[in-house]
Order: sequence, then C-alpha cells, then structure tokens
Amino acid sequence: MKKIFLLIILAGLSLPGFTQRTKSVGLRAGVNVSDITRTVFTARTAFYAGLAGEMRMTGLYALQLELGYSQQGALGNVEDERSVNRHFSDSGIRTEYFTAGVMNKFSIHRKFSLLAGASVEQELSGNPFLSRTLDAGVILGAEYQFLPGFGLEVRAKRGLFDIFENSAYTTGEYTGNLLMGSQSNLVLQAGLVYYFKERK
Amino acid sequence: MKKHYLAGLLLFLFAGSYAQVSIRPGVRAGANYSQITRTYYDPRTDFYFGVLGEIKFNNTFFLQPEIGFSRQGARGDVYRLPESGEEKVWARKNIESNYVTWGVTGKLAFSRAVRILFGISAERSVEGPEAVKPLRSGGDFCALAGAEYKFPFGLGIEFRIKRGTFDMIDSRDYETFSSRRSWWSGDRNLNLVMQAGVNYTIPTAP
Repeated sequence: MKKIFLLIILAGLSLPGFTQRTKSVGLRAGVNVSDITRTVFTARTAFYAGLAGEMRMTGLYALQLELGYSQQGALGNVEDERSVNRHFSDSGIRTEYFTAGVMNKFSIHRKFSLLAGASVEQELSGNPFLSRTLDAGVILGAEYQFLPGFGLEVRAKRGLFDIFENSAYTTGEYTGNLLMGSQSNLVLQAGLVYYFKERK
Repeated sequence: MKKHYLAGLLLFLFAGSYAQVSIRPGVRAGANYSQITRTYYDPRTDFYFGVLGEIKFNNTFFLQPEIGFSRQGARGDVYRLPESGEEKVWARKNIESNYVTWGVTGKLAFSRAVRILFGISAERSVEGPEAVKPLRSGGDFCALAGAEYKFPFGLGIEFRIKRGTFDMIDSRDYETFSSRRSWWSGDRNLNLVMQAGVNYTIPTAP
C-alpha cells in the first residue's frame, strides 16, 4: 500500500517533465469588417495582423496567447465641437487597436477547431470621437487547417465597453449598460494563420 | 534503507525540475514613441535604455526584473483653460517627462526564439513638478505587453506597449478631450508608450 502511494507521488512529481506540451508560434492576418453597435454608422472594412503563441495541452485542447494590431470602427459623417472651440469632422470613426488576448482552442477534429476567448484592447490613434481608449472583448471563432501549418480562421469579436457616447449618432433607446445596449465595437474577422514548425 | 532510497529519489526528482534556474544579466535600449491619451498633442519620439536580469525557470517561462530610464511625454502646444471668458491661454510647448523605471516582465517562450511578454512597472519622473507642468504627477504605475525575438547568441529584438494607470493631466485646468471623471469610464489622460528596441543577455555556456 505504502509503495503504491509512493509510486503515485513519484508519478505526480515527474509528470510535468513528461507531459508533451507542444508549443508553436503563429502569425495571423486578415480582413476586419467592423461596426459600432447601436449607431447609424455603416461598417468599415480594414485589416488585422498579429502574433500567436499556441500551447497544446492535449489533443483536444490548446491555449493560445495573442498580440495584435486591429483596425476597427465604423463609417459615416461625424462632427463634433470639442472643449475649447475646436471643430472636428471625419468620414468615420477610424480606430486602431493593440490587442492582447487569450483564446481557448478546442480541436474537435484533426483539422478543425473552435475558438473561444477574451482580449484587452488599447486604442492607439487618439481618435477624438471615442469616449475611452481601453476596451475588452469576447471572441468566438473557428479555425480550419487546410494544409499542415496553414489555417483559415473566422472570428466574431464584441467589445464590452461603451466606446462612443455621443447620443446624436445613435438609434434606439440608449441604456448605457455593460453588454446590453451600449455603443461597442463589433468586429467580424476572416483571415489566414500560419504556425511555424519548431526544428529540434 | 529502502525508505531512504525512495526519499533520496524523490528529492532528486523534485530538485531536478528546479535545478535549471539560471540568471543572466543583460542590457536593453531602443526607441520610445510616447503619447498621452485623450489629448490633442502629437506623439513624442525618443529613447529608453536599461539593465535587466533574465531568470530562466524552464524552457517556457522567464522572469525579468528591470531598471531603466525612459524618455516619454508628448509634443505640441499646451493650452490652459480660461477661468472666465472665451480664449484659452497658451501655456507651453511640448511635454517632456523622463522616468526612472523599475519593472518585472514575465516572458512566455513559444519557440526557442519567440517570447510573449507581460509585465508591470513603477515609474518616477526625474524632473521637478514645474518642469512637467501640465502633468499632475511625477509617478506612475504601468502595465505592458509585447513580444521578443531572441537569437541564440544573446541578441534580442523586442517590441512593447506600455500603458500607465494614473491620470496625468487635470482636465479642469488644461485642454484635453472632454472628460467624465471616473475610473470606469476610462476617460483619462494616461501615458501610452510604444517601445521598439534591442536587448542583449550574456548567453549561457553550452
């Protein structure tokens, strides 16, 4: 009995050294179609690019850390008078975000994975029409590996915060609640992923 | 006797997973592209440098304490808001705040070369309060994220984005974007710095 107990402890201690956690580095890039919810603006088409670090825990599950650049926003005429008699006008809310995210990847098939995760996003361009520069998002998506290393991905990302507060450009009743009824980033992403093979 | 043998084996296995911890000293330097969020100022391009110690726990995780100097701020005309009347008052040109930084960065390696960085730092401006005048505070706490590409001979290329947490400009005194004064709204004037540079750590003996 004692021996079995000790064996279990031994096995437990040595486990971290034997689990084959395979890591890989990926590059992602593609097209963004973005909008700001509950406004009269129309969608903006732009691009995103980023770096991904995949840590595969089991055949079914991998954790993926991501850093990226994402052009978002919406199109439409905006005008505003700001604090000290300054006038701004633009043909859209053209924002640039730096994103840092964590994705859970469920590989339900050898070539096909479902993605669910979250990201923290920092606006970089200093756009005067935004009410805040820091955003957080929830992401759902899918990835299809059509060649070894190459993948196609589709994602939907929803910002959690009200980033545009001017009620002149909204439709519907404004509630200002988190998630429900706020004017938030909404982005559809479609693109390519490439995972580098580590040479031993 | 058997027990001793097993205890010894246990100890050996346990120690084995921690014995690889090594510390390598290094330096880092590069260009800063800094701005203050929610202001009308333009970004300032300048430099940073520092020393670091890279603690390697295993092939995946590194912890890196850092001490550095970072030239930040923004460029452009600073206007003070009038107490009454129409005209805003020109106060000065350019904000130059230079910080001594103490930080800890965690590095996750996803290959031998590519690491993803997350970290925090405490920062203190070396200038007096008058020299950084539109800025209300000489200190800051920052969070950073970034990536590093490390060559086997010790040279690294790195990119980081660092964001402060303290509101730097009182929007009642100086011209900024219209502000709601709450943490939740995120509507504050913070240091935001993009860093691109190189680092060098002494490579371990083969």
